[in-house]
Amino acid sequence: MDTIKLGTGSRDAISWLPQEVLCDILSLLPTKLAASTTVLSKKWRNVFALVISRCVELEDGLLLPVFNNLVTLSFGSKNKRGWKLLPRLLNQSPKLETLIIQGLDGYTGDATISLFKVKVLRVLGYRGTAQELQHLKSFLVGSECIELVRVEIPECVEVDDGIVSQVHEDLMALVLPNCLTQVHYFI
Amino acid sequence: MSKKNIVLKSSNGIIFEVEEAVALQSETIPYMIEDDCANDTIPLANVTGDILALVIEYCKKHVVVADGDGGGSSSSSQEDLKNWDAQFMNDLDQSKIFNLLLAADFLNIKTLFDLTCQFVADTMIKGKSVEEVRRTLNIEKDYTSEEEAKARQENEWAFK
Repeated sequence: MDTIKLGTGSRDAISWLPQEVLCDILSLLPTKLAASTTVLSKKWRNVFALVISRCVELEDGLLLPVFNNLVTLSFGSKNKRGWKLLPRLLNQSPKLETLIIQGLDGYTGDATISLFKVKVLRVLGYRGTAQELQHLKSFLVGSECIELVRVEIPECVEVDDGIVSQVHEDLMALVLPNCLTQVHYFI
Repeated sequence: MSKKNIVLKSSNGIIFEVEEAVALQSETIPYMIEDDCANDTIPLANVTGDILALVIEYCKKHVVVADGDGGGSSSSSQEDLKNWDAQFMNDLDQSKIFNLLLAADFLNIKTLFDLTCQFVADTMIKGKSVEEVRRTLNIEKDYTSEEEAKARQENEWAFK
């Protein structure tokens, strides 16, 4: 963008806008940048506090903003509480396209995961168990946008061609015919 | 066919007569008509004439052509509108932009409000350091250096 003729002499024309309006402006910025405006002046410190207070408050008091610009999310958790967060994260991320799951170990199936607009699902640490397959199946129910499902079998799991092709077949059975499936593994 | 016109009066007494469809992009004006807070003329006590002229220019451009056969907005006209918006914002100086933002807020014209907010975010804050934002917007630092350090510390993660 070219340098613009925005000068108004030496007057601060923005700080007298109502806090709610400044808050609307900050909501359009990446969170980190929005937070850095707290050091501009005293007024701006309160504005960011207001941005935060508009975020969704979870039952356990955790605040979650809307992640308007988030397109890729990598998620991992070994406990139930963590997994309960995932549906909320997905809910708050309207533009999410790629979801990377760092292993299904801690998932117990009691958080309903809906992939909304997610196009790419990657699952790391995949071992090809029936339980994992079951979980994947529940994730993929009703997800119409999915274009690629890729599972990655970790190096520590020994595989042979039979296992790999079984995993692949299992995956293909879960998705619509126009969705790609990939199995990544080490030999 | 006679189209109904609405008369708007700015805070400094300038009169604008616009078609109803143009004025009704504001969600505030219908209430003012209902409340009959003016018989014929709607006074806008906190919008000056030069800003109201800009608001009307925007609303005229964005008025939805109700009659005419259906599929009015082709993708190319959407594109044109977007370019027009960009040019419209680019031609304004900072003080006009902020006054326009206030007017859009007061008159409740959502698309204009969103456009202006986005323009401010993109051109005056995004990609700039704190010091650059301060300079661009002429924000006076009213912190003592201890207070600034404290503010910085509170959101330390934002400065990494």
